[in-house]
Amino acid sequence: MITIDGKVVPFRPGQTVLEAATEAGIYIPTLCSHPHLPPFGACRLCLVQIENVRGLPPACTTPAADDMVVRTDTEDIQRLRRSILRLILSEHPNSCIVCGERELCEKYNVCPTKAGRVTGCNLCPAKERCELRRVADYLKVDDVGYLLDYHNYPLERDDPFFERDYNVCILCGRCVRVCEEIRGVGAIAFTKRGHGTKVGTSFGISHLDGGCQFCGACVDVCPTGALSARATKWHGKPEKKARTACTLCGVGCAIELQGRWDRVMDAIPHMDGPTNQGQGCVLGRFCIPPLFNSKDRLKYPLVRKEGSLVPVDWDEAIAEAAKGLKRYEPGDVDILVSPNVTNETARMLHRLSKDILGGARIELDSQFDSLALAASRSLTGCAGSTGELSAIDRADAVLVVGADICLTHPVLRVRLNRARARGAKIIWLGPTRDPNDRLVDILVPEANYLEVLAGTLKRLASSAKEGFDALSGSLDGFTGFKGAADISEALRGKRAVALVGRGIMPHRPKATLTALWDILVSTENTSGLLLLIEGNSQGICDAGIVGENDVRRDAKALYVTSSRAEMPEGAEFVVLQAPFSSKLVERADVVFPSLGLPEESGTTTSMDGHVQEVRPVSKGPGMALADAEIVSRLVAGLGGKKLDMTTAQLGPRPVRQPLSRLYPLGVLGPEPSASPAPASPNFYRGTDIAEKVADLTVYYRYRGVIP
Amino acid sequence: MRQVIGSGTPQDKAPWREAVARILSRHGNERGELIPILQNVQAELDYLHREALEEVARALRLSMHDVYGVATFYAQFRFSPPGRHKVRACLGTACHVRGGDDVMAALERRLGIRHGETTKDGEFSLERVACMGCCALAPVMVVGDEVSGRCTPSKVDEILARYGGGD
Repeated sequence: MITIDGKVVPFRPGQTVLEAATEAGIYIPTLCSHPHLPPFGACRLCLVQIENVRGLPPACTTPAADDMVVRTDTEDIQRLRRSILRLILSEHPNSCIVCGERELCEKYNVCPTKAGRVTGCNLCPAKERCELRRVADYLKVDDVGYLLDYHNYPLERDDPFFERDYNVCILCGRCVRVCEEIRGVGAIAFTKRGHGTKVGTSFGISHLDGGCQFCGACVDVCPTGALSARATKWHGKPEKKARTACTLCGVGCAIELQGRWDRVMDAIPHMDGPTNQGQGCVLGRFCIPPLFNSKDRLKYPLVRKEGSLVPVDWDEAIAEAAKGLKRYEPGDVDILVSPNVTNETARMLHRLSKDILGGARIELDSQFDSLALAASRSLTGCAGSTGELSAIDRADAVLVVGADICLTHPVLRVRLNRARARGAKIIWLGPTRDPNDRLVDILVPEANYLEVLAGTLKRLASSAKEGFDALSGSLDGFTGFKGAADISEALRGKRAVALVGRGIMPHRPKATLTALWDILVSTENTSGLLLLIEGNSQGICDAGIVGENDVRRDAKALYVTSSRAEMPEGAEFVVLQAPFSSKLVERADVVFPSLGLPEESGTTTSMDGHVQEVRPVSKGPGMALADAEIVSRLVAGLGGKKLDMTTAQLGPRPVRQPLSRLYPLGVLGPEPSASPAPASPNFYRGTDIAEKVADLTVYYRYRGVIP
Repeated sequence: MRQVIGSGTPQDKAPWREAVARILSRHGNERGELIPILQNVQAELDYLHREALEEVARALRLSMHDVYGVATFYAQFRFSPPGRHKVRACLGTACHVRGGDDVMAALERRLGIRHGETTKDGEFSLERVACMGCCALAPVMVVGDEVSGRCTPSKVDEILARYGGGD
């Protein structure tokens, strides 16, 4: 127990005085400490008085100890803090902070005032979240006492996604630390020294050039307006907030959506997300508002009349779709399910195909995800990963196979970085477009990865106790590759995690998965994680929809909820249900406008099995409806009993069987399969996200991801 | 150091690369070796350029920006090649008192560069120093080996003109 301001409070071993006080609800001002970051002790605002300790130690770096007696707010301390804050404010535009008219000004002058340069809070995009103002209020600073020393740095606005104005930076170092210590990127650093110190890149190069991954972690920890998200900086105070699960990739990060004017205005990673733990990535942090506020949203139900699509009301569109689908035999109808719909919608689509349409074919529209899920089900009896992402936190070795994580699952870098800092070996086989790949211990470039993987597995298999003879035989010819020995040594007998991504697609994906699962993942303490590309593939698979994803060429009628689907030539009748306009609209006979992520309710399942709630923060455009509602109306239109969300509950997931059997293994080989992965790594409802978000296009073009 | 198996990027054999590799092989891969490594690299290459910093960062598994941050903290490192004529202006105590700042300002204006930089034609580089040891002559500037005392902005023009610069 520790006594803080006369209050006896508990603490856990390892906690600092600041953490103990915060948990007990005692406020100690600070600007450089942040719950995500290790203590730094730079701003000196958290100085406290501790009995029998000389001077005033900072609460953020002092470990709490039993019988400590701490005072946080004596007049001496406050006076000292005030002096420190005055010095900080002497280099930060401060007239509004100390202005006597502040209260009235803010009450009657609420509009965010757009300005190039921030010369006071009324011109600052971070006014609502500024921590400097909070501390100044707490310390009652009403006069700075120094002439403002404005640095007059140029505004840095040439990079995508966020803008930088280092004239309001207070050098707390949070951005530098989160980038280096949490993300492991180090795209920024303190440069120069003394009065000339500035956060920046080497030689002042752009962030694009400097290897920034635009995850936005720096923006989220910045206590001032120095860093701000370009697309949303002037939106002011949100009217609504909702915690939801991002579905722009398979990780399922918990994010807080902010809404205003019935639109989504910002998305910020949620502190206690089970899969992301407060971190996000370029997609979830910056792409949601521009994507869903895009002008290409479908707004009205459309029906093709005399060759052209015309807006109609919902009843007519549903009736038209039902009439069309009824003309075909069940065997001639294909339902293509987008990997971004909710579990409830997936369940209802499944019912629609089986019960209402009498056995229409239903497929998940995602090449890698459906292949990986189907293959893993045939291997273990349970489709999906064999462990959770948290397995990375316990691993001694992480094997990344065919996963360009910095494009497909950028947030996983946080866990990999943490694992490396713990001393785990990171072994990377296959493509990486990470310009800052000092994360990796052993790198095998794409050109060599298949041979090295086969050689590694062969070594591991032949050293296994029993039952692997047949298997290792089938890998004959794959020995002696340089590096295979090092890699198998790093994996043998260790707690390991294999992360498998869509980069295996061009190289005999099923054989690769089977070999990996049978040889490596079957061993004790090893998890195999499928890096599912798309938002809710796991949940859709759990709802009973998973297949080989080859749209049957002879399907005559199609009901698709993804804009990516390739149309079979013979399709006579097409119903498209999607939030975005696309080329597919031109082929459709009926178009249903549906809601997108920030507008939806329901649940989704992360790639490692966390079922999370999806909550709306905005309204869809025009007459767009939720997918579940559209499916339910279509079911009614087809003469079925109306389905509702409560009948769409999911059953329990099947239990995974231990890997005990050996599979006849196709020899791994470099022969490419017919289906190379698409260039663009991120899709939502079949729409290429980079196509809709201009800044993402810039970023990906610069990295050479898209032409 | 990171291990790369198989075909990496083809390395060009620029002489500076070999020099940096030689220096790196003499030192360990610990972060604590960074400053000695940077000092040796500068001794070999005359200045620290981006590619060299990238190479050092890669070897030590640090971020290039981190390395640059460390290097810019110290006045001893330079990031542009020294010019044919090295111009140094003293801003030590005596020179400061006698108007060294004005001399520096005149040099920066005449050469069109800031201190620590080199003119585009590679003729002049400008540095600030803390004391030249001839405080009686303050304010002092030095071009190459030639020391000039009691400098003024107009005298700066004359001196630079002798070296074919300053307009």
